[in-house]
Amino acid sequence: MVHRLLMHWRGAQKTDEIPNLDAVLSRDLGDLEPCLYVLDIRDIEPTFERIGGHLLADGGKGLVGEPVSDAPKNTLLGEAVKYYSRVMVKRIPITLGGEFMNDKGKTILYRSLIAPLSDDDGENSFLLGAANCKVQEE
Amino acid sequence: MAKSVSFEIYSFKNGDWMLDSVHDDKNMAIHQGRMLIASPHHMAIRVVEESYDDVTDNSMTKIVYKEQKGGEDEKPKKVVKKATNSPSKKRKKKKKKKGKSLLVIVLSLGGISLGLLALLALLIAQSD
Repeated sequence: MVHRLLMHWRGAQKTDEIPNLDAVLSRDLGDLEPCLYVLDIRDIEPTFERIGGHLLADGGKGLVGEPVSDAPKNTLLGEAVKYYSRVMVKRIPITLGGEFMNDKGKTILYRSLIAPLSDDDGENSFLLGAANCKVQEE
Repeated sequence: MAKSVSFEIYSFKNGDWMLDSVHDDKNMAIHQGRMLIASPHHMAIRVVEESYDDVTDNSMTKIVYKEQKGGEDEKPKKVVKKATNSPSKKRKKKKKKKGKSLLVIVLSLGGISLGLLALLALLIAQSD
């Protein structure tokens, strides 16, 4: 998933600059879409602009329009969004995987990506995030 | 967590190494690097492993993968050297041109002087 989304991100680049939000989201993302979220970073604290179905079901319910700090810990969305500030500073894609224990006591293995996106004026205004996971077998 | 490892992809563009992306997985980073070098914007790529031990506060970096268009890894540096060499070559060419024009001036002045001397000699002969 991370690799495929990075391919779309690079495919939406005109040259080397940060690609436009619409240029990435208008691509045929297929089964990646439920795993995506977008952060609006124009305010002092970033807010969730949109959240895909899988992430809504795993920590993202009711978070569209809400600040990133509201993402609950020990959920897929909460873990996947943790390092957003590093991407804001470096302005490059960062991928990260890890594990956490969910509220049912299961160990969850996840992989995630956060990449910068620009608005129509070319400003770095959004972050594109994605994550998927599986339960660790005992 | 005592030791953290990340893999940074650097791309050689416009005469400089630029950080392209950061990954926590070596295979992912190398695969991404291979994809980058296949695109026209990237001359060379390097994947650098950076490990940091927060107990000892030591960090280590090493290149785990490198590739460039057209062969050896050192080529980007040669490109930079070529760029710095080219102005001196131009300077040498300019010096050669200057030498030629100086010779033309000397020969012209010599010709004019001889002409004037001949004219002077003619005038003296006529007055006698």
